[in-house]
Order: sequence, then C-alpha cells, then structure tokens
Amino acid sequence: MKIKTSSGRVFDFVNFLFMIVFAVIVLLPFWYIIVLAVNEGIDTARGGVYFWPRAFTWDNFRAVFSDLSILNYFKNSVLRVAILTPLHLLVTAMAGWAISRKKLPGRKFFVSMFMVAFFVNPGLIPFYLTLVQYGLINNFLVYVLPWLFHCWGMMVYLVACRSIPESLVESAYLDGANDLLIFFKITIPLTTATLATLGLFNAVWAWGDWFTGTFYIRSHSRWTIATYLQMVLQRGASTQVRSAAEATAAAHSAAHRITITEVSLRAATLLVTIIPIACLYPFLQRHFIHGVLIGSIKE
Amino acid sequence: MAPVARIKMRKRKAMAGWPSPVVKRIIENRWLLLMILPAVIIQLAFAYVPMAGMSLAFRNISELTLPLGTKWVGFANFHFVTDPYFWETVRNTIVIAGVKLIFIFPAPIVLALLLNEIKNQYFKKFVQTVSYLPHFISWVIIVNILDRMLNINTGLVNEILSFFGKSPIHFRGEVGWFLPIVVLSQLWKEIGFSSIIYLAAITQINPELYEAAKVDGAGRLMQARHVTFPGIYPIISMLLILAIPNLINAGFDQIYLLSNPMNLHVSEILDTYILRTGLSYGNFAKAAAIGICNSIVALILVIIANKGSGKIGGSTIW
Repeated sequence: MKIKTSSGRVFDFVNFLFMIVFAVIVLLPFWYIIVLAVNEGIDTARGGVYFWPRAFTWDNFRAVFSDLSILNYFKNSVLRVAILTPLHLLVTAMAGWAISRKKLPGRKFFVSMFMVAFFVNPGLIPFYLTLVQYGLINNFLVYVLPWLFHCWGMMVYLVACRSIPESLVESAYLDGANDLLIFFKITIPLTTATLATLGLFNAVWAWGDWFTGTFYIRSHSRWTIATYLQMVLQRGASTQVRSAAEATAAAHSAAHRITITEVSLRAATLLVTIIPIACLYPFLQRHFIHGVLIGSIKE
Repeated sequence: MAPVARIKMRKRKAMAGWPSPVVKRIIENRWLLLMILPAVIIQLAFAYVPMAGMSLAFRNISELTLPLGTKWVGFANFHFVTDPYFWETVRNTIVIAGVKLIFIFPAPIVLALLLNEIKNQYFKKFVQTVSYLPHFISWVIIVNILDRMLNINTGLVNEILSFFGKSPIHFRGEVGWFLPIVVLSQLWKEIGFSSIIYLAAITQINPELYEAAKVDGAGRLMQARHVTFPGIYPIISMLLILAIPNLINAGFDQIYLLSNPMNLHVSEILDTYILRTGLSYGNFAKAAAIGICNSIVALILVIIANKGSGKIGGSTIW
C-alpha cells in the first residue's frame, strides 16, 4: 500500500508483538528444561530458578551419560529408529510405486485391501493377542515388524510417484530395465523429498513411541527412552537418581559433591531426548510442508 | 471339417492360451508383485489377523484358552452397556474431543491469518519454524515438561503465581484443571503445525483479488475479511468435516499420560478404559467387546465425513 494508514501501522506493531509473545510461549517450556538441566539439582530445589541457571553445572548430563540403564534405553531407541525407519521407507515406497503402476495385476484388490485396513481398527486387544501368538511380546522385533507399513505413507508416496514423467519410465523399459531396477534407479532418486518427509515422520514417531515398550516389552533392558520417561512420569525414579548420582560420584573423586536430584536428572534426560529432533526438523521443513498438504487432503 | 481336425485345432488353441493371460500377466509383472508383497504380508499379519481376532468379543475366554477362547457366548461380553462407569468414559471421551474441537479448530486459522500479515519474510519464517517444533516432540516428553512446570513444588507456573502473591495451585491434582490443561497443551503443541495447510491455501489466492480490493479502497483488515478469509473458506469447511471422526478420538497418548488416580473420573476415556480392562485386569473379552463398539462408531463417523467432503465438492477419502 502506498499510503500507510496509522491504524495499519498500529496493527502491524500489535501483530509483531503478538508473534513475539507467541514464539516465547512456544519456546518457554523448552528453555525452562534447558535451565533445569544445567542447574545444580539441589540448588533448583531451593526454588527461584526459572529463566536463568543460578548454579551452573554439567553434572546432570554427566549423570545421564554415566548411568548404564539410561544409556541402554537411548541405545535401544537409536537402534529401533535405525532399523525401523529405513525398512519402513523401503516397504512403504515399494508398495506405493507398485500401486502407482496401472499394469499391476490385481491393483484394485490391493488398494481396497490397504484401505479397509486403514479404516477398520481391530482394536488394542485383538492386536495384543496377535502379538502374543507370534511370540513378539518381550521381543525386540515388536519395535519393528508391525510398523513396517502404513497406508497413509503409501498414499503420500503414491502422489510423489505420479509426478514422475511417464516418458522417463517408458524409455527405461525400452532399455530393458525391469520394474525393480526402475524403482531403485529412477523412482527413488526422483522422490527423495517425499522419502525424507516420510522418514522424518516415522523416525519422530518411533523415537517418541512409549506405548510399544510399556505394554509389549517386559524386561527393562529392552525399553526405549520414551518408555523410561513414561515410567518416570507415572512412578517416579528415585532409585534411578541414586544410581546415577553414585555413578557420577564414582567417576569423579570420592569427595565430589553430589548435586543431582530427580528433577535435574529428568530435565537432562528430556533435553537429550529432544535435541536430535530439534536439530533435525528445521532442515526438512521445506519438504514436510509439501507432505502435510498431500496427507491432509488424502487422509 | 473332420472331427479329428477339430480336436486338433482345439488343442492348438489351448496350447496358444498357455500360459493363460492371468499367469502371463503375473509373470510379466513379477517384480511389481514382489515389491508389493512385503506390505501385503505386514497388512495380513498385523491388520487382518487381528481383525479376525475381533471375534474374541463373542467368545468365552480364560487364561488357558488364549488367544481365541473356547465357545461362542453371543453378546454375553457386552454387559458393559449397563455399567454406568462405561457411560462415564463415553461422556469423558465426547466432552474432551468436543471441547478440543471447539477451542482448537479455529486457532490455526487465526494464526495463519496473522502470519500472513507479517511483511518481514525472515521474521515470518522464524515464527513458523518455532511454531512447528512442539508437533515433533512426543507427548511423553511434553507431559514430563508439563509435570515439572505445573509442579506444586518449585514448578515454573507456581513460582510465577507466588511472584504475584498468589497461593500455589495443585494443577495435576485438581479435577477442574484437567480439561484446561488438556486443551491448552494440545493447542500449544499443534497450533503451528495445523496452520500449515491454511497458509498454503492463502498463497493460492489470486493476487488480483487483493489489487481489486485495494482499488475499491479496502484496508488490510477489510482485505483479510473479504479476500483472504473467503479464499480459505473451502479448506476450512473441508477440514471441519474431516474432523468429524475425531469426535470419538480424545487423543489417547495425551490423556493417558495426563491422567492420574486423582482425576480418573474426568480423564478415563474409552481408549484408556479398554487398555485398563484388557491389559491391566486381563479381561480380554470384555475389552475386545468395548473395542468393537468403538471401532464401529469410528468407522461410521469416517463414512459420514467422507460423504460430507464428497458433497461439498472436495476430494473424498477414497
């Protein structure tokens, strides 16, 4: 607009302020956890620590990384994502590519099969008893096998496949390439943006999924970090704190002052869990926005 | 033609038809079929086998006869419909889902309209990036953070309250605070991410419409009201219809993690009730029966939503 009205300027300013406040509200809980994680736990318990650390320390992180059981939960989480996400992408993308080919025999049958499974929810109990039947309860494979395919992801991938020029595929056929080769040499390189989005969503989900560990895994040694955080939330973790504090103290000199409390240990654990995601998603932002648009229309 | 010749010809025809067209197509497309096979196996094993297991709800069951139970008992497992506690969970589910819809559905629209008014693209990008962050953080982490922030003992919110001379509030224990916490935390988590689709719709609006509005002397608020809002109206109504299935979905993760013995009579929803009945108390048949009712209602709502979105001219779900 050429002529700036004063009311327009006032609106701009209020809007700017509102957005600042909004951003602060979104970030504040994360900032609070950061502050708690780098503040001495004993000091935090005295109160008054919220916007800035008062007694700075790395001890809480030392405790997280020297506690063998917490490390093991992290290891299980990383292992799960590292195994599940690539396989999930492969299974989902292969199915999406196959469905996108009109010449696929029984195409309509497969589509309706996936759709029925998408909309009919058998419910928790039949699913649980099926896992019991397969011997997947308390088995690490329960973190991977049931989650290898999802119809929503396939639909998103299907849309990406449709944007591949048919002439490219045709010429590959003429050169004698089979469907598998075309998938790996043409489809995958041309759909990396969609694959990155689906991979991000799957990895984020698997990283934060506590349910599988809590209800389908019995032995603590196979828990993921998300399951541990759920247990801490519901039962507290006093023994954990003691063992972590002792481990840190033992790692340092015997005279080392123990400053860790349940609150500070949990804050540090939360932060270590959040950081991988917080570092990852801004780089994939451009791609997932596109993915969301497809998903929300098709869903 | 002699009969012998006719037989010979028939034979030749049969030979030409071998392999039959169907088999031929399968062999020709063996790679495609091989590629779809893993997904089909996963679906059969983890979606269709459990679907068959839904029959459990009509069977008699004991620990020894898992997974399918012994004999058919008809609707004996459906006695829960006379249990007032079941109806309490139904009420909680609908109340939570309904309140969420009312308060959370319009918020991203407002945010998108306001974001659209920001001139500085870098600032806009920054606010957007920040607002997406909570969507990627799982509920188990967020509830842990909330638990600390709302803690009666040196939690952030209570510290701020006491700074203003107010007495601390036991947020996690008081029943009245459960619903506000649920709505506000969900709002905080999803408002940014949900605004993506509206922002995308706004960029699709023809810029000439704004020019025309300016020529007619419309200020920015008038433009927002008469150009931007009508421009995204179709997508709003579409998403509203697609939100219908969520009327029975209160959000399991969030509710389960925020519930505790003190707020159970407002926080127990159908999903958590099924979980507790089945996995905690081992009453599999009853839990499966409740699950069937839940699934049927959910399916009906999806069908209604699909009919509705088809009627307003958008793409249908299938």
